[in-house]
Amino acid sequence: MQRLWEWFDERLHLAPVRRALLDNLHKPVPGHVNWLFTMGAALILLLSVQLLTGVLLMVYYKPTGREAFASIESIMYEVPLGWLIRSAHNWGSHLIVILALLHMFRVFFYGGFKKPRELTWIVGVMLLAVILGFGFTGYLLPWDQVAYWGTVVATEAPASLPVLGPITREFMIGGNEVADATLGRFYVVHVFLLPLLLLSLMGLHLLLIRYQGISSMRRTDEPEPTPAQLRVDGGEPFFPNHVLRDSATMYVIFGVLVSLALLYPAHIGSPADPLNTPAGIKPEWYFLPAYQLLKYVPEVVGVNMPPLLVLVLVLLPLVIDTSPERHPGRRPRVVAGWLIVSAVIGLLGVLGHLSETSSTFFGTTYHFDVQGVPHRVVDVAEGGEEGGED
Amino acid sequence: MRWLALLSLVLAWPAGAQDTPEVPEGQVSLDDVWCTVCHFEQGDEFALSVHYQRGLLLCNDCHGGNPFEPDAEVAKAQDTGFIGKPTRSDIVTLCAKCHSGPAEFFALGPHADDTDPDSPTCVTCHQNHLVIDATLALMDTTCAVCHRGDSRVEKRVTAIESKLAGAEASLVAMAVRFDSLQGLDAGLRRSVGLLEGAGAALRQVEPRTHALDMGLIGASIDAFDEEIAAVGEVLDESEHWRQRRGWIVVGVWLFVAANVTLLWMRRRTL
Repeated sequence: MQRLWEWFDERLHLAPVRRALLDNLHKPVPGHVNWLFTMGAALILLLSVQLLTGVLLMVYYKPTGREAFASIESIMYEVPLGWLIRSAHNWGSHLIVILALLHMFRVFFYGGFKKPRELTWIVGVMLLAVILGFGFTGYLLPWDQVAYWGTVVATEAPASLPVLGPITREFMIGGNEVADATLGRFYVVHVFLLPLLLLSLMGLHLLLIRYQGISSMRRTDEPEPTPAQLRVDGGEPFFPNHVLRDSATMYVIFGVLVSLALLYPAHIGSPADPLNTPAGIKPEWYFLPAYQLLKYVPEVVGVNMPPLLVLVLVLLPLVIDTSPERHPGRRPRVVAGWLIVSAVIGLLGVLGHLSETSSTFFGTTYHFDVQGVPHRVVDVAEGGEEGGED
Repeated sequence: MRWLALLSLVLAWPAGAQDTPEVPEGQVSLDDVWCTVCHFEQGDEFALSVHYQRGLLLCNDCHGGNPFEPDAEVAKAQDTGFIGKPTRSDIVTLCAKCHSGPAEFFALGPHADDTDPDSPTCVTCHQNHLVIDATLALMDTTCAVCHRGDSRVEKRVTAIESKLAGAEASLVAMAVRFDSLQGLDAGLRRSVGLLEGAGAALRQVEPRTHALDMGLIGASIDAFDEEIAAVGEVLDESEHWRQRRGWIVVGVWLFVAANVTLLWMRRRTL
């Protein structure tokens, strides 16, 4: 190993690079850094698993309307461990969204997005958009009824935009309706463009984090603490202390992912049938707030809301929260706004999940209509009418 | 639940007849059928039958003639194939057009006695105009009409009913078990054919009951039992595989715990 290193060092003069890397690796992290700061590492693990399982799935998946579903069936039933690989890929996609949101919440509450780390935050927001893009394009690939009709509904929304709407939709799906051309486009975006974008942005995100270091809790108008000051304030070296924490979290997340894939394998529905619309079509859980919002507001407004939210996130460190304070208690208005918006999004998601279903709470059955409004279902045997309003 | 729906299709033994003689979708209204002007009692009964409610038959399918012709003489003209009231042998032939299986096995049974003009035909048990779905309960009422107090017949009826009811119950139970396990084992989807095969085997039993031959019924029930046992084996295997996966999960967490512990123990030495 030593001889190999010497061979490279002799030619490339890597010693200064190595020294810089080791210095960076041993640079202390601020004293307040705890287990909540390991979600980024868990995301790296999950994204790597997605990349690996995705490549393995690509070996057997056939992205044509005639073959896609059959190839998924083959992966599930014939390819050795195909079911496990697809299930891990499926569960991984859900865990990534959950962890990415938690990671973003953590950064927001610790004020890590503030000066001088605005760029890291903006790249992070772009990464979140890319992750959601993976979910959107990957949803169609099994080419089953839910995937097909879910995509039909989701791609109809942009068509309502004035002027560019119909063209945007046509560009997205490659024609007037979701068909082979759509599958081909979504496949290329899912397995080539988005991974390329993801790897580039992830590299930039990590580079910025390592270059600037993890944010302290000091005000932004105070100078950044030096490594010596961080050590005095109780900071521990990134390696091995924080790396060990990261590793432990990665092991636990790996355990969760494998357990979910083993115990609850990915579902496979019936093949896509463009002539038969199934009841109760809904998007993935993380798109439910946007789906539900479209039921309350004009389509033009509803369709523009998600991109607007991304824009708000991008502008957060630049325009919205420019105060020098990092502690959430010292910037109550922004924190309250964040919590209110999060609660509304969460509520929309819950309503979207419940809409057009019936559930029993404390012995009473309710039917939730399209808008998510509950109606008490009165037992006919009790003399009432079914569907009577509470 | 979708399996229960499938089951009703597999068995094709749904619950009783409609209460109200509504005109089913795609069916001709009996107000447009001239036969019912005179034969209104038969028309009222036929309106409630499964043959009418499912849009399967009209008067002329069994009696010939032209039901849409207001002139009775023209409607019953020879060239319309009018046969009027079918004879005893006509009845079995007519029913056999659609119900060939039951007719085939009926011919093997004790009631297929062409020499006896009073021996029963299809309509004796199933009625002529008010034909409802055949259920096992039909045997309780129809057999007793002629065989009340005949312990030998009653015993045979009970035996047939119990064998069929048992088979139906095991198919329902297997379908419910299949449905509950399918949510946890996507691979079971490939074994749907086995369950459908069991349903088809049970459907084979139904026509054989018309022969009233316990040997014949027993053999077809045995064939069904074999099919349902094959489904059971697949479900047992699925449950065992799920248990094994549970143990693999335990192994995964032991691996995670061991590695995290090792990492923590090495913390000081790194």
